[in-house]
Amino acid sequence: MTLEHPPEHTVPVPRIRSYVANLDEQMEGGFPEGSVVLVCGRPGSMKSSLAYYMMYMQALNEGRRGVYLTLEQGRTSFARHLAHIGLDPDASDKVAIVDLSALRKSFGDTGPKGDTNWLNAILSQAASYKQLFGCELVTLDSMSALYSLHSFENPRRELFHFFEGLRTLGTTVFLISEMYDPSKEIFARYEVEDFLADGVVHLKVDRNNGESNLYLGIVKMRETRHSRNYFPLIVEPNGFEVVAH
Amino acid sequence: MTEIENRMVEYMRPLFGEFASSALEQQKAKLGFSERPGAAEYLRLVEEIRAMCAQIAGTPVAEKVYAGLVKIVKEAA
Repeated sequence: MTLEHPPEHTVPVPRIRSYVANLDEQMEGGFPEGSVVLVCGRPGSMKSSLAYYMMYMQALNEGRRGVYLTLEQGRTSFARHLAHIGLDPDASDKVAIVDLSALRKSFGDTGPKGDTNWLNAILSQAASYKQLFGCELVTLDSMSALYSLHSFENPRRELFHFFEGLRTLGTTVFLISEMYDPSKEIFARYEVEDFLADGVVHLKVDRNNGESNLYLGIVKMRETRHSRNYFPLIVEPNGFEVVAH
Repeated sequence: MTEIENRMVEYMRPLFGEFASSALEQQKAKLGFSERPGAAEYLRLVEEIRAMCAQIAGTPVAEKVYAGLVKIVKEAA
């Protein structure tokens, strides 16, 4: 697919490159800076690895600091996994992995007062980390873990405010979202998250005759003319790559 | 909580969020803090908090928090 030229007189949007080879060309050079992007897929589709990779490469190549918030997987276990695919978290002090699961284990899920509002707590923590680390990129892993902690009364309304809160941080945010039903393209549990997000990146595992192939599609990206194709995603020793047609 | 502990909690808050106070109290209990702790006891506490920070956010962040907490303890001594 060939992208059309953007109309004249449009103000260029600052972009955050993904550093996935051949992908940025499919979305005008990258994610619009400050956008909130869902990275969705079924278990094993490399959502966490991809999100960390993009932050890691931004840190390495452009010096942008990032914070990766993990709510379930421990820091040590995640770091070991990353090292296994060639991403050494100790190689850059610009991407901090903050293990909120360790806090949960130490102090419980309901917080010191027993009534923690986790949506607000994450917003507040992300704002603190922006100040503490000077970060421009934030990943939250995962939305499902967050949902297991937060008791919703009105999901649509609360998620609207959560996404607005993320947007006002002024950082580019990746939200890891697990998809459970292989027969449906439901990108997140409450089926509103993809409307609220600025972008949706879908990682699809195609299993056929015992073979398993991974595809990446940009389902949605505001302020961006992007390809709607699904591209084979390859993980090479030197990084992620999509095979563009 | 003493004044120095309040200052420590405020310093820890950006990383620990609302768990900052609980984290400090937990480490105090672990060390069996005396009723009138001195600088040496607080420095031991800061070492424990450094280990906890390393587990949560890695060594570079832990060292930054550690340096700030040591400064607070030394200023109060």
